[in-house]
Amino acid sequence: MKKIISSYAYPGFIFARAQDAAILVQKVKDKISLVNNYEANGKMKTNIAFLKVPVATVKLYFKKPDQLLIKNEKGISFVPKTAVNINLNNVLNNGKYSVLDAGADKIGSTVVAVVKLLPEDDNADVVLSTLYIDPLKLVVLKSKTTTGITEPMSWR
Amino acid sequence: MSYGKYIAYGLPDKVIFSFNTKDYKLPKGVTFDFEDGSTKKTPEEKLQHQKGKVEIAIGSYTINKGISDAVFK
Repeated sequence: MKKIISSYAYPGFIFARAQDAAILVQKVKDKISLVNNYEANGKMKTNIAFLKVPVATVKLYFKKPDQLLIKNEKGISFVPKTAVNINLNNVLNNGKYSVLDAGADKIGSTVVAVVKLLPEDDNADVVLSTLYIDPLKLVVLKSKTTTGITEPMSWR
Repeated sequence: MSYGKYIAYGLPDKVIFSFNTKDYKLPKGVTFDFEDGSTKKTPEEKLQHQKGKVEIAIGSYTINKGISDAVFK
């Protein structure tokens, strides 16, 4: 009897957790979808072993669906092309993906839900995205993106 | 990412972007003075040198006021 319960209950449990993760991702997506475009002012500090780069005053421009520009007001700045993923619109609204529940973790004192996004497109640049979501505030506190390409560092 | 007054839009005040520098190539025509390799590094130092970090602290956002496509060209 025990075996019957476990074999039937387990897939349902997995499905329910995956569904919860998908709902959570959708809620975060709804929140950031409120932003159609923005212009922001900031300071950028670059720490790369072989480059000495001073702290730069930058302007960030974003426009849906996936345009992001980081502009250094004085001189050039080096930013990896995958830095477009600092804008979560680019991660969450970039094509179709499967959502997997990867459990929970802690960032500082905050308990976060860990969710993995697997692109359905085999040829997508992004192989895997892992999001650490604060389920109460509905914001992403950390994301990890794995790309399948070696790409040049973009600079502006 | 850390959030402050723009949390309602899911926009962070601070973003720290880490990446493996060994996966990136500098643009053609750009040269830098690299280390000459005369000093030996510990495994920890070598590992650290493969990581790059960009930290952006954002002071203010202007949201949904429109941006011309020309800005991105």
